[in-house]
Amino acid sequence: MGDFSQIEDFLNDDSFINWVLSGTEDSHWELFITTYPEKINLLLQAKEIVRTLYAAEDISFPADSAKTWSRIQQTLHSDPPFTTISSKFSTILRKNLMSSMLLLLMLTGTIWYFSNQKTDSYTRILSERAAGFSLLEKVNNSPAPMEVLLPDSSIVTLQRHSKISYPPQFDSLHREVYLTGEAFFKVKKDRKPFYVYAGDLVTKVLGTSFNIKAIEGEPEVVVHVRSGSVSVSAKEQKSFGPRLKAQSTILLPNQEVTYNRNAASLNKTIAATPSPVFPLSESLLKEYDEVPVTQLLNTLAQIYGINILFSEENLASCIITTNLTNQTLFESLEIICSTIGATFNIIDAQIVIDSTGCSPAE
Amino acid sequence: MSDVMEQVSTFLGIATVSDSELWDRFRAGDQKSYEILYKRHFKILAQYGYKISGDPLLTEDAIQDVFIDLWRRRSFLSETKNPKFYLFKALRNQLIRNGRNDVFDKSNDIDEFLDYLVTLSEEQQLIEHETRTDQVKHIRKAISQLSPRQQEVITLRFYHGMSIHDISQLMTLSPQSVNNLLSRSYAVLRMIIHFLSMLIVNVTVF
Repeated sequence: MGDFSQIEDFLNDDSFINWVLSGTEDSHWELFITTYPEKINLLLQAKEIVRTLYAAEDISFPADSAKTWSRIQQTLHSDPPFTTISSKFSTILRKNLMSSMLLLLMLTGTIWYFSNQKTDSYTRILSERAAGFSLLEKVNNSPAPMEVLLPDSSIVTLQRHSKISYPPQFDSLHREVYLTGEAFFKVKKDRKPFYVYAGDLVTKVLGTSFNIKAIEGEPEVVVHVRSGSVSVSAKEQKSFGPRLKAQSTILLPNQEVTYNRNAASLNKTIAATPSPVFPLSESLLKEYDEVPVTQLLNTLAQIYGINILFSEENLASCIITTNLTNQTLFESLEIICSTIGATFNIIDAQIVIDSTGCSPAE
Repeated sequence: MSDVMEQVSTFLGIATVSDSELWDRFRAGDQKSYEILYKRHFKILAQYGYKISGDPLLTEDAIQDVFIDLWRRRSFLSETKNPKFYLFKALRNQLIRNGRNDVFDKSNDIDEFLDYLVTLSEEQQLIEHETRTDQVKHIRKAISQLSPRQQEVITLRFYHGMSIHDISQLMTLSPQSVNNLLSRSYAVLRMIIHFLSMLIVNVTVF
């Protein structure tokens, strides 16, 4: 239980939870507040958390109380009249009835299974292979990029010496294309997931824009996300179709992953030239006059959707005056770091600022 | 629920009856008390059942089975200080009996979460002031990324206000395990919400 020095102490207290949810033991908690006024902030935060979690859990689903009740009534009314002896008898009868019904259900289930010809991945592969003959292929042999319009209105910008294959119509469950070379994808948002098979890598998206580079003969495949997010998996040798269990990672805007075909490794990093996640936020790249460096770093993090990690303490006294108009992310970071005598590194697709702080004069 | 209670109180001509009183009366064969028990607890049982099974029909069927069983076996039941807990336990067991293999074992659909991220990031504008509804939506999304057990403790603790002791009995875990589940849930929620706050300006910081 502890001395309520942390929020979790409140959350772990049964009486506190009861008080927030149903107002019980009000006097006890009123007394607590008057006895420990310094804990009021903590208490209010904990209270807010409980309230918010309650609201989040207050899901309404179409549960029909009346309908369920009438079914209960119907069942009970068709029970044999109650006596101690006959209830035992009806239990035996019910048990037999239930096991024969179970058997019937199992039989029905099995028949349904066979008649529906449930497609497993093997059947799908066969049909894929067969359908493989009816895939359309677009090849770009010119030095300029070539635009390809897919059946779902997604646009693919095919780089030179690249090929893309896709069915004339996507099937009802997926949108699948095959790529060799390099292309930029602008995928139309749709219920059906979009898969790109390129050099042993499968990129799965729902609607976003990204670039894939899978040049034949080169050991590396690179996927770079411009907007939205994708899930990238290295395809298992034996499996076909989208059921992948091998290593996978999620890419967010301005991140890119490099897959090495030989080493079968996925390396995630920040894109070379990150672009703002929300185009309008470019207006935040402007002149800043005497602002805390921490604030500026947080703003940059939000603009580019990238984590920037730094020590709040160390940078607390750092103030900066600068103009970030038209600067790229890395240029901005260079400017800020050289002003305060810090350095930055990219570690695991995050930016880490290393600084010993600022003297009051800075 | 309150209007039902008023109806009932008027009908019975008494002040609101406690759960244990209702329980004893129904065990003795009082159909009206049985009905009140049902009406009083249906909504919270439905929330719990749906939360852990994810299936509204399965939940309704399970509640039905629980109450049918309850009436049929009423003379074999003993008194209890906490009928609500008994009903929760009965429902949980019933869902396990009735359910398909995937009850309690819903795998995280990361695709759904990705879809959510795509929607957020495609909003094409900085979201300045989040409404309360948006915040709750984000928390709900964050909670859905917890493991099934973690989700179950969260709902039992923060929606049903259950004590650690009762939760441990219901889920057949030690109280320490329940506390661990809660701690881990807080940590994961904090992480996810912090991540979401990178995309959005004003999310309640945990």
